[in-house]
Amino acid sequence: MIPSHHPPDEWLLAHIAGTQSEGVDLLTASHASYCPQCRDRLADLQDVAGQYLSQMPEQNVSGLDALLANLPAQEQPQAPRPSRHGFPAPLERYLGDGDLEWTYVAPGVKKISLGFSQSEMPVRVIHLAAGMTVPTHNHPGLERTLVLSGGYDDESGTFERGDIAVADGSQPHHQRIHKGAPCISLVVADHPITPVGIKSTVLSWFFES
Amino acid sequence: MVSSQRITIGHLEVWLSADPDVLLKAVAANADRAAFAQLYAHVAPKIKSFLMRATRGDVTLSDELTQEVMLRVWKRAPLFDRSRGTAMGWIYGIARNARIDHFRRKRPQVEPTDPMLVDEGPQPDETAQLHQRAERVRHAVTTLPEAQAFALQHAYFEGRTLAEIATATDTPLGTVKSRVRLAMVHLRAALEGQT
Repeated sequence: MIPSHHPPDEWLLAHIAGTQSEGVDLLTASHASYCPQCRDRLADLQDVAGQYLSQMPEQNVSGLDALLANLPAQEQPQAPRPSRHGFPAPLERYLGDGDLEWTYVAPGVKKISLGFSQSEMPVRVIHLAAGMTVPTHNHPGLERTLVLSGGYDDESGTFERGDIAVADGSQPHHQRIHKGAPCISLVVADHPITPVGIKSTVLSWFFES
Repeated sequence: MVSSQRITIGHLEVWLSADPDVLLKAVAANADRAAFAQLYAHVAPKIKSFLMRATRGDVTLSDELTQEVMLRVWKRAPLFDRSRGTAMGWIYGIARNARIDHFRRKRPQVEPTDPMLVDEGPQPDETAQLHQRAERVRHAVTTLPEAQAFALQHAYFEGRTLAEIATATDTPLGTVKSRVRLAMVHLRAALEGQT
């Protein structure tokens, strides 16, 4: 199944240019595992960067002899490691080899907070139970979601494995998780979200880290 | 001994080709030091130029990172998969990563060998097209409108976000974004359209 909701162009360019925040880069790279179309577009952007590199003016360099005198052994391709938890490899690198350690948030809701080196944006894997409805909420900043398994509907459409959703603060949304399987997603938010209404106070628990 | 790509005189080997795809393939397949020397002569001066822009003119750091980039090119050459892109694109990626690593940020990467990879199914044999990819990329770039090329180059070489490019060039952010979008449409059409 090929995703139908893709990252914005600027994420792809920023990924290749190396200017993206770590959390959004993780979303982009993980989406690419699911999406041959975005892999092609990333390859295009990288090759175009290579073409511009080959047009660069030349600066004096003098390190060749030093390198030749000390060339190390070359790396050889390794067989890919099997996916430990069934998630894309870029995300697996953050999850380690052990069993997933979920933190309880609320009935039907649990999360894993990822450790990031410098990013200030909260990055989490969130597990929402099959058939549940996430109360209406909105965001002071952007909330970016990559669906890893299962799916949901909200005001802007249907989202399933590999799909990217970007919610901004302009309109509150509420997610209806598809029946039959839980929805697990990777979520990168700018700020804690704002619940709308009394029932939604549970949502603020998401963001106690 | 004379081959189509290099000549050997005594112990001295000289590569006749300056094509990075040819040279990188030889570095990968045979740990060919002469090919590496030629590749170094061809790309290291350009990599340093890129790093000078990325570090806002820091010569010492640019020299140091250029050496690091070329060392990685040697070490990782056997991992280069030409079915996924051009040698220069791959080398750009290594230079970009060296820059990011210098600032100690982790960098999630697309992993072409991810066991979870979703493919579109069997692809037609593209071998003949792959040989021409570098040529097609060159063509795609030369036909890119100037304003679009400018936005891409600023992102690639100065490490600027689109918002920073908009500010630096006194252009509305929406305009910069739409130039990037148009550039990507143009590139996709140019790279897919020719066979």
